[in-house]
Amino acid sequence: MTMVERLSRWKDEGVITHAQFDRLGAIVRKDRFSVALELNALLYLGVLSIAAGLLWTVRTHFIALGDTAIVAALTVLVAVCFGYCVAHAPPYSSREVESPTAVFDYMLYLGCLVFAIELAYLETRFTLLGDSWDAYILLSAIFFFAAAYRFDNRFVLSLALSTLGAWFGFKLTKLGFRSAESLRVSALAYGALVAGMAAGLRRLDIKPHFVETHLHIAATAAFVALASGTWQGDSNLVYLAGLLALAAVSIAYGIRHRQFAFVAYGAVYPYVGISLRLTRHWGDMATLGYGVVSASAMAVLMVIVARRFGRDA
Amino acid sequence: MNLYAIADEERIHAAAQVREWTRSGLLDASQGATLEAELRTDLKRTNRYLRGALFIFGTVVIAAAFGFLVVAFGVSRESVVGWSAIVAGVTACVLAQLLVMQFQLYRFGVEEAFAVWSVGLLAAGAGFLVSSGGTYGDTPELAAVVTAAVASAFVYWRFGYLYAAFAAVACAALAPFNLGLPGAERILSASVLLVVFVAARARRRANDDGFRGDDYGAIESVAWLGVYVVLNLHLPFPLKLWLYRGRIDFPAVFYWATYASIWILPLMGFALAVADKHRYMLWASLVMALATLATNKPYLGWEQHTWDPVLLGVLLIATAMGVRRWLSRGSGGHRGGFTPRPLVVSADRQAFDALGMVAIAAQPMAPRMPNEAPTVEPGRGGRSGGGGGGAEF
Repeated sequence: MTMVERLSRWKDEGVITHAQFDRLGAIVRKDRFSVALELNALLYLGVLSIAAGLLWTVRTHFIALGDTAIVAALTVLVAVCFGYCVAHAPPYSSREVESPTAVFDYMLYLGCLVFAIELAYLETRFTLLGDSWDAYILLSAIFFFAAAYRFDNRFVLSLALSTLGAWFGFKLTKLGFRSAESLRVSALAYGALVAGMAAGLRRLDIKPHFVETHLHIAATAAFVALASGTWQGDSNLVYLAGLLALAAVSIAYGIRHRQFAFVAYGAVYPYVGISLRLTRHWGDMATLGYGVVSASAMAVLMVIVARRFGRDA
Repeated sequence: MNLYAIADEERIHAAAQVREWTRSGLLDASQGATLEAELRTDLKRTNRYLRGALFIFGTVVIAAAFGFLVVAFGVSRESVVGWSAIVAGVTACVLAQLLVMQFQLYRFGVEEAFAVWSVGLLAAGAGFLVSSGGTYGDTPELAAVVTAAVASAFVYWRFGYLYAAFAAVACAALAPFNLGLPGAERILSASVLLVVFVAARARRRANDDGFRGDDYGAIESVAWLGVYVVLNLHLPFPLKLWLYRGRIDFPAVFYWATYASIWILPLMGFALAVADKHRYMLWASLVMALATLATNKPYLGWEQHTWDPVLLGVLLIATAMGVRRWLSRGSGGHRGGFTPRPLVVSADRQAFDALGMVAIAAQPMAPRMPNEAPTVEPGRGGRSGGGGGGAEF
């Protein structure tokens, strides 16, 4: 039975109204065909391409162009982008806000990317912040967070989260911590901060649709740090305990909120960490035998979890 | 031949659409619940995250089991490794089918891992067997690629995994590059892809109202994109390394024919996509058009400039805005049924959520530490005053 036939039957049975039948029928028969996704993808790629081209041009031709021309051009571009956003932005709301125009989100994203290029250029050329050069990364991250929340923009939120992560990494490197151990601590601190922000957002009911993005980033950073510490780190028992505790929290959260990505994180990362720690001194036969038995057991456990809690496709 | 009843797959396909419509507010919650209950099947399914985790554990089981047997029996001769891989591949495929038939699993991850790795094992086994027979050169790779194409096609027909069909198309297109026919390999490969395109297109048109039509549409688009990839001689990505093996100097006629084709293929793709309202073909054509714009200068031997990406970006944004405005100004906010407004909001939202997550890892610029910048040589650089030659921001 085709979808059109189904819709017709549902209309005859009174499950859907005539208006719904007309609207859904038009979609199924392709009488109406939306190209919104494709147009948005073009805008996104266009912004990325412009930002990448600007960066390449500035890096390659800054001598010929001169500082004044570059800074002036970038400043004008940033001002145009933010001017557009400020002029068209609806009033702030702590809930999700629809974009007022088709290009609004992309103007903001372009403005933030060009702002990052300009700030990096100024710092590299004039070392305005001296030894505190890493502060420009932190300032950028704070600025991006403010823009993401004010204008409700997920692309800028992604930019803010990755810039904040970069600041954590550079801060530790600058302080002389270059080992894997210190990177792990940095990742854990970053994960805790981002998770704390998510908890704060949820408690204060500010932009609840951003919470999940924060939690995915926090969980990934923390799980990678703990799993790698379990088999590489100096204090691997501490990491192991942390990994198991985080896995328990992640799985419980995932099941409670029906966010099954966190259940998957809680199963896969600890399995990798524990397996690598257990088998690091084992021979090939024992390791491979362990792989068959342990992965089969995990698969059975996951099937049980999937059947009990995660039936949705 | 498919393991699943058509009626069940139709219900699953319909239920997914009902869910999207409910999330988008086109149906209310109670209607959605009623319709989803009506469309329920006995097949056992799970969500995409647990499916992914189960695929990973299934993969570990297969890899560890095969490795264990090889180590335990001290298999080292190439022919024995080849036969072992083939037996393991057949076993994995049988197990995958048993899991489906016995437990009625549908896109559950475990059975997918078994089916997918059965293809890998069979292909590797065929390659080792041919190699052990004293045949060297490209023949073992040809055997592996042809076996992978056949096995992937079998997995698609049996289980319906679309990615298996894509793998079959890709392997079939790679086979001519192992025939030792420099000069003809690209033409042969493009011919294979054109045959796939025509066959998939015919089947899509025959099933346009059914759920299978979407699958055939995707295969048709991938084959068309494949023709483009094979014929574009300047694509700057790793596949080129494979395609350029045994490269000869291309005759001028062939070179300029491929140049014409990289313009004609996206245009024809757009025409087909618009005529049939074919979304996958639209995506394939957009990718081809972008690749054509990116490789046009290398084709013509023109110098590339650092501001070329800026021009490309402006062109993309202007195109998107122009098309949007043109469609919006049609009567009823659409032209020929094409509208720039989203119709099923949740589908677009999911795509942009995914894009937002990708954006975290794929920022166009990374913050740089000051000591990463090359040092400025005396007399050539300087913080100000017009110097700085040889320095880099």
